[in-house]
Amino acid sequence: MGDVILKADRIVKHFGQTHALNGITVDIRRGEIIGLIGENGSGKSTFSSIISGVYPPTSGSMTYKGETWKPTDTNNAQKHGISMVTQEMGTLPGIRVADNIFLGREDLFTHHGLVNRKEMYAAAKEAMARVGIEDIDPAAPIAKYSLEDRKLIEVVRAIYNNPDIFIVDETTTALSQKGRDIIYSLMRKFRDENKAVIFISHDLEEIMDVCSSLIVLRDGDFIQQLDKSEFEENKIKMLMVGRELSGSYYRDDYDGSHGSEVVLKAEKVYLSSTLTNISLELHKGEILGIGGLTDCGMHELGKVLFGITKPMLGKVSFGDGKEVKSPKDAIRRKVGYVSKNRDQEALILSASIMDNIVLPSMPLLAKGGLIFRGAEKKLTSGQVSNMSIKCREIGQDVRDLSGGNKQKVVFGKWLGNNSEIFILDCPTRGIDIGVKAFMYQLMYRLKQEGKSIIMISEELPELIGMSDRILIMKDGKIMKEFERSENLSESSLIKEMV
Amino acid sequence: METKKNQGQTSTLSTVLNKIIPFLGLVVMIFVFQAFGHGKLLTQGNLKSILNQSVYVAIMAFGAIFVYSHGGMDLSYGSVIGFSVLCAILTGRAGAPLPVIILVNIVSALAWFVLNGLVSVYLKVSPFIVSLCIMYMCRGILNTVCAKEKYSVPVYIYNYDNWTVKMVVLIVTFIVCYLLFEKTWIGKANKAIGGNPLAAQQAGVNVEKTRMIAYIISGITVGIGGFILMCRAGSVATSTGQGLEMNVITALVLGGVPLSGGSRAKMIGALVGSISVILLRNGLIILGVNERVIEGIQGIVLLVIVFLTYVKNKDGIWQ
Repeated sequence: MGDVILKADRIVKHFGQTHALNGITVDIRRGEIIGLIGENGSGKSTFSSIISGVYPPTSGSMTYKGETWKPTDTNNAQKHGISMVTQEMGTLPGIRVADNIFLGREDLFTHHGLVNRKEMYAAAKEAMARVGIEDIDPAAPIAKYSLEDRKLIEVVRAIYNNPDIFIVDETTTALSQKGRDIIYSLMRKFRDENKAVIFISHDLEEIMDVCSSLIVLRDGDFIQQLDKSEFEENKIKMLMVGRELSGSYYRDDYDGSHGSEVVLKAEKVYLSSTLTNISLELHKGEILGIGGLTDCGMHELGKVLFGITKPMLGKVSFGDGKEVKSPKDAIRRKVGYVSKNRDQEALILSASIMDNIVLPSMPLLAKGGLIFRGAEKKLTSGQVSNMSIKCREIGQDVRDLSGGNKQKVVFGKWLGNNSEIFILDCPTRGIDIGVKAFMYQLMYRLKQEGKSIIMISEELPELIGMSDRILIMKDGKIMKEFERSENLSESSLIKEMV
Repeated sequence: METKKNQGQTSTLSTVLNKIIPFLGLVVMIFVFQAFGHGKLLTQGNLKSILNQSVYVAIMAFGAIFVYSHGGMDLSYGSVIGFSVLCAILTGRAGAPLPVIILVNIVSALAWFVLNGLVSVYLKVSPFIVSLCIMYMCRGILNTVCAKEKYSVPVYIYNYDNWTVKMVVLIVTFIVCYLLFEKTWIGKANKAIGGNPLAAQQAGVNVEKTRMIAYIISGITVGIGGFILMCRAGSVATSTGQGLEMNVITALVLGGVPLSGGSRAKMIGALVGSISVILLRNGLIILGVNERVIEGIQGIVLLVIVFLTYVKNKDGIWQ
């Protein structure tokens, strides 16, 4: 085991009334990839934010390389060799790739008060090449690139001055396998160079695969540190939630039957370069899984099915042949859509739980054109208890909720409108296992009630575990269809995906 | 951030504060101005003058809140109301009956707001810029037409400058706007767009249509305000309505409406804020502040309150 590079001693952090951390004492050692794991609200992000200088602890002390560690801000931490890549977007739109990488460090290329851009682009290109990114132009505006590429650019920025502690906070959630592989190999490189990596993720499989040791947090308390040899899925889950989780959380039947009535269909849909000749039918009481790599077009397909994006050719229609013209039209016909980008597209963060939940149901609630508070409250309270949303009051801002509870609000919005068809794009992304299990039960219950679900997902176990039928997409086309069966394996799906 | 899970009483407190601050501000101003103004504030004559000026500012603010709640920013109120008064007076001088004059008031203001809506919503030009251009176009027309002479209303119009008319118009406009804003999809959809246009669209809001309706409502209220202003002023000059846009914006801000839009905008705030802004100007005059300095003070007040409300809505730098 390597030397201790950072020592945290009884770190406490309060945000007003909230106690995010209640005295965490841990050692971070060199030559390790340390996984930080716990449910939403357990304090993982708070802890890593304190190490990397986002905010100071309320009390407690840290020792870094043998000296007291009190970073004033993230820049200061970065200068001393602690860099973090976070969950939220960290690149600035509207400026170029290279400017983003060297933000605040332009002095590296400044001669006589002028920035030598050629030199800067060359350095950016080289820095990206070092992590295996070849296809991003340093001189291009950052907006040209996808969320995934932007995330990788952020990583390049974080590791540019070769940090001694590299913190990766939930970054991989937003990435496809290719992007993840780049980050994994980077983490391993840092480990091999006798540096320390702290890795935060909700994906237990990924964490068990990549990390050499694990720190489990729960409700702001340090629970246990595990070595690689002690990794065992059920044990870790139990430590995280503090109770035994019963068996598998997917449905346990292999009966892929469903109604025969078609409720939603796409016919020969084309969308510029993203979708090619897509035809599909969703039946009553069916869970239709759609899988593939993140850029295979499945997320765009979800938007086309809900009427947000108009297909260039072909049409999307309801069971009776009427075309889906707009989201408004789809909602009127009882379709609900859960976007992959929850905070950006599915929720109004600055509005209350009630404002969010009642929004699609306004036509339902209006009496003579007027929507009264009582009706809104009734609908919201019903969904808050139905979905067991943990909140102080229904007038609370959605912004203050944890990831899992935010997603429950999104679901509650569509259940409140009595939706019959659900289009779910990555419905369990970034939420902890407790809420995940809840969502799977909910989906199964909806199926049994005769509702229809399209589940677009990048997670193969969940596709196999929940779907009656799975469509695998690649490069905008549907490659193959799989029926629900006990023998369906991840490898047979992967073969069609790549 | 997951650590914000239960930010306890702090945010409940801020919600309550948010609701009462506009009223509190009004009360504090009344006390201060009454105390330091040698009792000149709460005299019958002065109160009448405050109410008189508040009426048309408030009526415009009732419509403006629709635009501001969806995140729009509009500076054209003062010039458009001037244009509305000009058109109505010219119609009146041509001998048209009262209903036609009122109709001209409304239609002439509405036309500019429809133009503003079409250009900013469908041609996607920044609404701020569009309103700035309209402000100059209207002022240009007023400057040209009224350059040589001031036009006055037919004498009988002065009869409508009475409290019954003003109060009835104010109350009816408030009730209609209140219902539209707080109790129908129109207001709720506008607030949703101000919060997050993508989420609003995905929840079934027709973003373009909703924004357009906000401009139409705003145009109609400016027209109604124009009628009241016309009856009160009795004439139109190059400066008619000048600076009123600033009063409308300050009214909204004093009423707790965030300029960033969203669900915190409340119709009652528009009413309270309109009285507040006029009270502020009036009170400063009573305190003996030079009238030319008042604009400057209003600017400072606006800036400070915008800064404070931005922080409160967590959209500012103090996240």
